Amino acid sequence: MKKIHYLICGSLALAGAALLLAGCAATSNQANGARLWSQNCSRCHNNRSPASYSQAQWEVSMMHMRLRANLTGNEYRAILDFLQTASK
Amino acid sequence: MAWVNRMADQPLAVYDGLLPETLVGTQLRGGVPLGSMKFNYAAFAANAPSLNTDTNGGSALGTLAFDNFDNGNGNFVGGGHLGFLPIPELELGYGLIYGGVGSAEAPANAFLQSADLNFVKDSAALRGSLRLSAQWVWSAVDHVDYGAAGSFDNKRDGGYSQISYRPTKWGSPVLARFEPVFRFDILNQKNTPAAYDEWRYTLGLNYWFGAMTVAKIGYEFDQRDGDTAHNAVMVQFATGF
Ligand code: HEC
Repeated sequence: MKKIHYLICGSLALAGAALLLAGCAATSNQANGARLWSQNCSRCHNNRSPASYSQAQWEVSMMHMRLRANLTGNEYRAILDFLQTASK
Repeated sequence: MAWVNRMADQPLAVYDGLLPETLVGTQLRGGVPLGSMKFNYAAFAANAPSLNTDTNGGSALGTLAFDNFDNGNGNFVGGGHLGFLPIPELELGYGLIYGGVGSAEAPANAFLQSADLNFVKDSAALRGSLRLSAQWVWSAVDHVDYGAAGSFDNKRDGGYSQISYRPTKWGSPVLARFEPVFRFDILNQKNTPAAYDEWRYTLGLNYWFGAMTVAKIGYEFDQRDGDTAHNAVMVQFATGF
């Protein structure tokens, strides 16, 4: 599948550094997740409603989008938490 | 991918013009918060694109072929991208790719650079959401002796800027589905065997059926210095899953 950006991607893209930098886990809250979602997730495409996917589907999708959006570990967890709570 | 792109076709210079849209390799990327600001980064190593040295190819001579699923000449490129987000709506970025692209007979390195800007704002004051994006690319490939075709200064550049707006907050659900787009793009390569510079103005109108389904129409005004221009009407339907 074709990818969006210019300098991008291969078969083995690693989120390693993001994982390291996200070392200190913060307890994410819903409001934070919602804000981060609206700030980060409509940058490239329209936001899809949280209710359009199941919890498991959001987990898969967020694995992909965490890379695309260059999320930190905290941002990733807060957004995933928000999406899963509001999921179908 | 067409449901992500606001225009039916892709801008000149980026995306398989002077820069690859994809490379096969390995990449490390992530984000670093800095107070309310943020940096993001990506670094990668990948199979190198290959330099077109086929003198029968005419105008394509000296261009880079990016469909690099195998590692033909044993070359790799390295590169990365650094993005800075002073506010969450704005990203300023710089990227580069460097590495060998030639062959044993005609060794050469390529140095590709790009600067980009992205701004996305959804607000009541704007009564909708506004997107601005711009990118400029510089491509420089070492001098190579192309035999009968000789040699030339293999430098090209180009880029685009684009603005689109969705009137989502005017109180009309019908209006909210529309999205006008305007783009200006350029490719400068007159000093190469391609022998022309090109610039275009494209007007587009999108209709969103849902978050990931869109119909697009567009009209492209093409201008070329050194070649015949081709205006175009474009129609596209795209959906994502
Ligand atoms: C840098 C651009 C970019 C950002 C930022 C981004 N996406 Fe995406 N998104 C894409 C692209 C491109 C696709 C198409 C599928 C692919 O190539 O991975 C996609 C596809 C999707 C899909 C379709 C299913 C899938 O997983 O492929 C969903 C859902 C999605 N994105 C949600 C999100 C969420 C949630 C965020 C915020 C964390 C986000 N996106 C941020 C570019 C982006």
